[in-house]
Amino acid sequence: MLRKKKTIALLLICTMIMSVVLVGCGKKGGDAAKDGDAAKNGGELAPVELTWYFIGNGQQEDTALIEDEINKYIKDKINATVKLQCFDWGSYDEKIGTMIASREEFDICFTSSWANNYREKAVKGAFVPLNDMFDKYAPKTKELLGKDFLKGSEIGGVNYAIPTNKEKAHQWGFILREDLVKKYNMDISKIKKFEDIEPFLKTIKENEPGVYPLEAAGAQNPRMHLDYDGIDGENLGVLYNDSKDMKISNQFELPEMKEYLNTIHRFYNAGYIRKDAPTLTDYNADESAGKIFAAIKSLKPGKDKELTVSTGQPWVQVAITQPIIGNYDAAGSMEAISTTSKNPERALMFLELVNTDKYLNNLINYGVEGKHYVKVSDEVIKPGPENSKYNPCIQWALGNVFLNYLSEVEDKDKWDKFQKFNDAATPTKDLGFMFDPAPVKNEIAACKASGQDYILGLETGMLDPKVYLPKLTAAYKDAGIDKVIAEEQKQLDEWLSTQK
Amino acid sequence: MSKSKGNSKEGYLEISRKSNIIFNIILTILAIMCIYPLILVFMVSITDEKMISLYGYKLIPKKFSLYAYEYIIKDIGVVLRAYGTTALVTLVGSLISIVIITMYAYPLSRKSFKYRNTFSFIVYFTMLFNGGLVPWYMVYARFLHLKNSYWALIIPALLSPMYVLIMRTFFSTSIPDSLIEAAKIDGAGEFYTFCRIVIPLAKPAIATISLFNILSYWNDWYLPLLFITDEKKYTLQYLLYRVEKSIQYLSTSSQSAGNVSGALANIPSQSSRMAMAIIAIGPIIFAYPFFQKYFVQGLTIGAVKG
Amino acid sequence: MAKSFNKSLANEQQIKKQSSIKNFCIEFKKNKVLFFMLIPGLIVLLINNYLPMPGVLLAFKDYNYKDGFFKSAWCGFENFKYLFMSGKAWTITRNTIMYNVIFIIISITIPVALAIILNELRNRKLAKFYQSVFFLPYFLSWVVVSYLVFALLSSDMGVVNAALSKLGLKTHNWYAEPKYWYFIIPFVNTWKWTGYDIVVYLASICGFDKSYYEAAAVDGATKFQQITKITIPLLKPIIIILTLLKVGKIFYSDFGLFYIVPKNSGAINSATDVIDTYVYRGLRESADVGMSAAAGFYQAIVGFIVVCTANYITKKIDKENALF
Repeated sequence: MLRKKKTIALLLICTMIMSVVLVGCGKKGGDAAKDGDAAKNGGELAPVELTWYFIGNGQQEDTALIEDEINKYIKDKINATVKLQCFDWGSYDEKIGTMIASREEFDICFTSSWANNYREKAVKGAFVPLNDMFDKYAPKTKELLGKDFLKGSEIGGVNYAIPTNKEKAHQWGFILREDLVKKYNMDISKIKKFEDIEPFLKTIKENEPGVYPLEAAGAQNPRMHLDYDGIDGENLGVLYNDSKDMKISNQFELPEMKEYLNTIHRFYNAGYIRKDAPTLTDYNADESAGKIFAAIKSLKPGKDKELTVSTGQPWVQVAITQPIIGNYDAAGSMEAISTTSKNPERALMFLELVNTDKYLNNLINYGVEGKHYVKVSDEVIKPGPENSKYNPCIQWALGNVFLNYLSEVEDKDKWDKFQKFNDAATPTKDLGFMFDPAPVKNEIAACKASGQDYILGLETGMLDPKVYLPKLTAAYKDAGIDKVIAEEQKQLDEWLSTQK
Repeated sequence: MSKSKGNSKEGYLEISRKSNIIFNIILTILAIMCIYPLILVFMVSITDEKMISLYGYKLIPKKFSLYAYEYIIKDIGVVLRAYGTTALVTLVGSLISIVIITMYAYPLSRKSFKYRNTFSFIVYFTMLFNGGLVPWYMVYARFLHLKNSYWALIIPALLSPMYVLIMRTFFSTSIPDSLIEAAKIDGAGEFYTFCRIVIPLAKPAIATISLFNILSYWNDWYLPLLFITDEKKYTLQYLLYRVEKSIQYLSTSSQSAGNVSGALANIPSQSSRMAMAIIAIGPIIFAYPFFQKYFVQGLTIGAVKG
Repeated sequence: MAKSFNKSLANEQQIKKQSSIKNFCIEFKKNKVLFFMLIPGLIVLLINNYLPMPGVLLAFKDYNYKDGFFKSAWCGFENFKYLFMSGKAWTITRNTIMYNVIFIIISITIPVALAIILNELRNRKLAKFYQSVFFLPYFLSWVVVSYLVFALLSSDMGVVNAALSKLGLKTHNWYAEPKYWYFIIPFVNTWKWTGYDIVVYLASICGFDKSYYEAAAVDGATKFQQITKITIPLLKPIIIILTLLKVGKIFYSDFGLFYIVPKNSGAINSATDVIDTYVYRGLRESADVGMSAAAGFYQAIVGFIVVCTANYITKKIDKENALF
């Protein structure tokens, strides 16, 4: 046994020594080199290659062609060439996460609150702080985005990524089957809050046996309409959007939530909700088959039209909250520059072009005119003969959407409506505050893991809140939620004092 | 269980007819439990999507539709290339793997080898402890520069500790020591003994581990996910995984995926899942019957005597 | 036999007194070829497993991208805390161990019995057919299996509930009641893996010398006696090895089985939550490398202690068949 122990020890020491040597070798050239100075024209700058990783439907066939066009166009402006690499939905997070963690070199990557988690990665040093660089390399973009939007994605006062200029706010409401609404003469203008839907649900339940009156499923649960402003990713601590006292609470202890849980449980027992609700993640199938009457969704101008196209059923939308700009909206779609990039300044210059140059923006989004799209008028396009070879369909990730050409089927006033929507929105009281979870990461992980037992069941109305809500609260307390909220409050108060 | 009734051959070399019938009945029931789900999967894959939403999984589709397959195999060229890539990786990987595994397992099975336990431990240790995703990825991507290379798909699965130890056990139990001693007396070296005597006798074991290797290479989608970025080098399983994830993302689109295109209307999410399962199995389902011919008893007869 | 045994024992004791490196050289000279046969495997192990091995230490570091592996601060057992913090620590540990024990017991009984039966069937063609069919569930991924189970257990469209209501019995919301899952999980697991396990045992049986059976038959042993006195003892080594291998993984679970099949329905978590699913739920969207490394380390170290103990006991009883 002793001999074996010696062997093991010897082996481990050898491999450790070797690993140190090898990692050291691999590290050479991994540090971001300074590009020296700057701005102005291509002639003064050395040519560089920029790599851009983003999420989407996968690498398009004609990407190389597009890259050539881009390179031709930007050579004079910033003397750089670009490589575009799209990873598909399922693998983006894993791939980019591993690349960042292993300090691979690249320049630009997509980040957001829901993919390549912006908060977590920025705090751990994955992205380059941009504040000082904005004025020099991307002044127009800064102006475009406006103070609110930029503020919303700050972490400790620093911007680590550029948000995409698109719809800035979120709003919750119902989408309802237009044909059924007409059939039963429902007056949907009466729907001002969640409970108002009840009589309509009853009508459907009594008269349409094959239709589930209310959709309740994992991802966009009706509970979202409560529109609490989450401080951390799990909504363990929340604020009211228009909070007067800026006190953070556990969302499950707030009165509106309690009322909602009772209501939804009542709905579940009355049969308004599909019994399997907690296990469902794919409700698109039910929607497309016509089995859903009403659902709570995140709304924006024209959402019902979009859904009508995508599901093949007619929908109409009714908003029940006001448009709000929150921290999560700002972090819905952003581009960050990696700290492993050798040319962060050049990368930022490129992003400035993407956000302000109409030709470049539409080139990246739609392809080459005549091949991948054809112009119907100045601003309107339709798919071209080789559309299938380059059709990324992720305008909301690739720069300023207001520059995009509109598709034939879309509303001609779409951008105006978006602008009005953005302008009408009110910011949350803590816009710009990004909570740093590091001091309580253990408690957060423990809460996340133990809350799961009850949350889905409660939110979809399957579990009786009288019995299970106390259990959830107890589980959270056991996992240390009080510590989490105390830490959140502490950081919030500190941030507030710097805002005065 | 079985009684020694019937004629003299029964009960000694064969089980009784009664037992045989009972066993067959039990096995048939179990077989149905195994086949039925697969047939159901196939049937659902050729059912029209809306019928699935309305009526659930039915053995006889209410309405036939091959749309799920059309949706997945958008471009037959891509799918064929993926099949080809997978086949290449699987074949090369399994061949190299079985050679490495048998070569490693043989010394471990030789009782005269003093360090057999140490080297067994070295390989077993890796089954429990590993450095984690990031250091492992760094070795392949940054140190070996194998990103986007077929080798990144082959090397990680070359030496599975479990297969090595199973192989070692097969060697120990089915190759009598006396046989090896006899070879040694005749002047054969270890390697010669290995090639000429041990390998032929260990056919069932090699067939088993080869089968497991082939299946493991064929089914893997994780390695391409991490290492491959060149569209031409993707394997079949990864392509299917990708389609499934896209459907999932598009179906449960949260507020961030603003521009949902018309494509969503017709995504046959439920039938395509089943279609993908069928495509994923594909030819590999014939691998097992192929290897069956090696599971023959009695290879050691006469080996000791002769 | 005894004499040579004593002799080799004395030899061993003598050798132990010399240094181990010298021993190594002696052994190397004696069995050069064997060492060379080990080399390809060792190279693969080196690249794939031992070079990244220092990553195990990440469990004790607060890994930060800027500082990288070397400069990130040590943080002791901080990364392990979340595993024990919530009231769930006991539940997940209990579930993990309990299910693994059940799976081990099942895997050394049912597949063994079936392998033996298959080997004894009179019609070889039928036997081959059954073997192939039993293997089929292996080909279905856990995602597909979860949908099949859902088709059975769904509250409104499931086959089981439909049958129950036709018979006038009460229907259940299967995804909401934990107690049934203690049976559903082992059942699904057995269904999926039995065919695979059968292959291993069948391959073993094929390696047994038929002359043993013939000799026994001549001596008047019945089939049943042949099975219990010859087949099963000969299967002992492989059964022991497989059991030891599985025992080492006692703190690991098949993620697909415990997360995907129950469709992440929180209500039944008390029956289906295991260490791996707990870690996944807790660290989802978190970029914390240290915490996931800590979970892996925790599972590995416990498994290691258990398997060393089991191996030690095995060595005492039956030296030949230990793992190492």
